[in-house]
Amino acid sequence: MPNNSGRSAQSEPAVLGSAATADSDTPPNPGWVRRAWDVVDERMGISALAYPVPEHANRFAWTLGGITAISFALLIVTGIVLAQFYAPIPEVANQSIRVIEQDVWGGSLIRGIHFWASQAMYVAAVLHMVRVFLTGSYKKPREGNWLVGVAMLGLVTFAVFTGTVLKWDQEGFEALGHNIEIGNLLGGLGFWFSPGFSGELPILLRLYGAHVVIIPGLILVLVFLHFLLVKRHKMSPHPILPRGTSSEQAVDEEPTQPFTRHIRRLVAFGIVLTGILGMLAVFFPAALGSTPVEGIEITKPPWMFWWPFTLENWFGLSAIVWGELAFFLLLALLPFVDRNPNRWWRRRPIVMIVASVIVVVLIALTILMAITPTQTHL
Amino acid sequence: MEKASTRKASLGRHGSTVRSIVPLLLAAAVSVLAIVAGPGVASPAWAHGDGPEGEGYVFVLQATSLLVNVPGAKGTAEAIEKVELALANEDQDGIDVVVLEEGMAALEAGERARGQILLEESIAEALASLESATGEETGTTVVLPALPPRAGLSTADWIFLTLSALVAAVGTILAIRFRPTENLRELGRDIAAAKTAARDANKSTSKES
Repeated sequence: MPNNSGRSAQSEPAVLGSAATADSDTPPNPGWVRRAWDVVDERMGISALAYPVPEHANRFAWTLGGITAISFALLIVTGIVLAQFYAPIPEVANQSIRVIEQDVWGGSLIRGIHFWASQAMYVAAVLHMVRVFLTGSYKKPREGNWLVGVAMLGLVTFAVFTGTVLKWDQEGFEALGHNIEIGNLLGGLGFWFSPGFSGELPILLRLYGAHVVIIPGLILVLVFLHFLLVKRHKMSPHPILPRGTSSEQAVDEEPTQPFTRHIRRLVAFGIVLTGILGMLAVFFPAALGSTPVEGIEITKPPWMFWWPFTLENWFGLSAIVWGELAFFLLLALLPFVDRNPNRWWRRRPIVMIVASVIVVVLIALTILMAITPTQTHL
Repeated sequence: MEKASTRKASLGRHGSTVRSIVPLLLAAAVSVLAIVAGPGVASPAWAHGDGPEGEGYVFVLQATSLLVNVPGAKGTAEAIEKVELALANEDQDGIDVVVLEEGMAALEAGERARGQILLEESIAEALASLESATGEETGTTVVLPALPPRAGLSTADWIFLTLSALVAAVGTILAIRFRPTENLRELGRDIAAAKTAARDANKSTSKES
């Protein structure tokens, strides 16, 4: 890829040296670190990561997907620690979290980081989608990858839900109660949420399995596919930069950087994020409510579920299903409905107006939930 | 030009692949829905709703939870309502009705703490006879209150806080150091200049030829 700034992947000394260039660039007697690196790289092909990406990809907005992935990594690490002490058995689940909080060294902080990392992952994923939406990055040929992203957002939402239930406090149990009823509404589709599906086991155990194996496993598969498709389609062009002959790719004249530079900046953001999450864990530890009792509703769900719960207050339980279904359906259909070839948001007035209305409605519903007293639904 | 056309052709191929995959994915989704939804038509009623909701001790547990979670007179009033339901319920297995009535009297007299203890005592037998929780059963035998907020920062908290702040600061310095050297406007100017230069070079090449 030609460039004019002298900062291309080829001219810039690569962060991870390549085996191919090592022969010509390395001194006659390279140090042992370099030799060791070459040995590893020759076998693992790590320097293949130094492929060129357009320079605009190093902007903060273009790293939000990576920040989502870093939050996910933090969740996995802290989740593994928590899994050593958590008991997914109804009689003792809530108590085991109290043990983590009060008796396990650093347990409260680890749990706090886990909780805040989940919030960070959700927010970063949404912001990443907003960026992709505003820059039209979901347009041809990236429609498939947008769908992968929508599926991942659904899984992240499900992970937040299952994580809430695992606390096995009043809030978690009420969330579960809603989902069981939604499962009933869905008939056979909701079979997995039926306590009778495997009646000899507590549903908590199955949700634990989903939270620690099924959901992260599916997310990992989709992340891998997401990355592969990004590599396949290349970084989407920045719509405010000059266009080339194709609007699908960054213009050839845009300077490039090795992808390892992108990763390097991402790691820096990841370090910032880790520090911020650590501080949040100290100042605002994750809450744990009272042990659950069935048949009463005295809590509100996590904030990301507030908008459908306002709908539930108005139209009944089924409104949660229809609301969520409509939301994800709209997201999934977006690339196939928005056929405007322009990528810059200012040149896409219709889709921007529709999206703005939807966002305002979601925010209004969320605020309404915040100021409305808890209501009994089940 | 050749490179561009090759790329365009490649992308075109990809676009058509995406278009051909979408109906397949939709068909697969519909098939899965049909398979999974099918049994639902004939499936029996869910266990939810047939369980222990009608059992008297559950109302007493609910009253205890309301006392734990809802402060003030509102919580007491709601708890009393639940105790009344328990007393009116036909199923009073494992409930010591005399103790429960004492608990209700205590609540009515505004003695929340004593009322809660009596309520818990009144259903001790029912809770002791519970088997291991299955399905959506809570397994709750004692309503523990919400974990209280941290009273203050311990030494370990301060150490962790300092480390976190340090980590955030180091990350911020690195992020600033690794930031792109040009802003988008400058980058756009560079690209435009490079495009002009490339066009001029093309023109001069074609003139020479």
